[in-house]
Amino acid sequence: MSGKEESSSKKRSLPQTTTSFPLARVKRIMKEDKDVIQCSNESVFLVSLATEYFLKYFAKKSYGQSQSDKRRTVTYKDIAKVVKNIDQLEFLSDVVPETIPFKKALQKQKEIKGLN
Amino acid sequence: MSSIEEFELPKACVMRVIKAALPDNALINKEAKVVMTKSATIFINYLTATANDVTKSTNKKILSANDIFAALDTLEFDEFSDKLRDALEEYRKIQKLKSKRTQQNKKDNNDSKSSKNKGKSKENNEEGEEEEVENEDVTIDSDNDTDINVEDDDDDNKEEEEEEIEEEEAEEEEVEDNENDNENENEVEKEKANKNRKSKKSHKHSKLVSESDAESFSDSESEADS
Repeated sequence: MSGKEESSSKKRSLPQTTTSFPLARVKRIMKEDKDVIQCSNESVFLVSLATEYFLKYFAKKSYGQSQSDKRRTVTYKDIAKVVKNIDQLEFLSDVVPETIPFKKALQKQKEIKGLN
Repeated sequence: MSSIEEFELPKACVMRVIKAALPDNALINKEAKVVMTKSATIFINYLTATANDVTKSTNKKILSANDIFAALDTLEFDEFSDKLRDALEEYRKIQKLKSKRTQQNKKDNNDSKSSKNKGKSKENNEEGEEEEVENEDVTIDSDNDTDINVEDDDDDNKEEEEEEIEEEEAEEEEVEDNENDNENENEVEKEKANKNRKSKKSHKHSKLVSESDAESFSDSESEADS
């Protein structure tokens, strides 16, 4: 059951009901959050499908960014820029921080050390 | 599988989804792959946490589908909502179908069992067996659906074991069973394959040496390849 089939099945009117992520794994990740007491099977199915759509959206945006630099490979820089530009993806800002050149990082450290 | 990977989506699945979304000539470097997998996990936690707040605010205990939709709106990912609603309807139809079939079969299951106890002649016995096999594999299938974790399957196996005389064969099937469950317990087609192997088990305990054994052997082989 490759991804290709899924995207084509979406084109047909029948909505996609098979998730490409194992639901048990999704459930385990959801349960990681301690104050989640119980989640219905429907919610696990929905979260898994929503994550799929999110990844597709995110990949498309990042690819668009790499194309604007006339490149075909999606790199970390593209993703970081996309996360910075789109406020919907703001929750990823600490996962995908913008890379700063080493010199600047050193200066920043010195400043912080100077302060305390 | 190191412990970290247990709490992340399998990279292969993530890459399959991404490849499907991008044009074929697109390439993704290593770092980007790691970042994509990580952000998928973060998205799951983020969405679940927001949905959980909604569940708490309506002081319900179980996180339900509407909470997810509410969470998607608050996180401005509402463009996914309508696609998700159709998918949910379809998913519910499939669930209803399965539960209806199991209730109706539970009834036949009891009658066929009573016919067996009366100790009818071998042929009727065989017919009874055929019916029972079909019903049994459907009920087992519903157990898989309603409860993802493995305990439920074990209770089910215990019942069978009490009836069964040859234990080792059942155990061997069970091990294969669990392995299969962990790998792909959610895909519908795989579940159907899972069902056939389970029905083979009930065949054995009726001790009828029939061609189906040979057929079951080839099935389990094909099962192993898939």
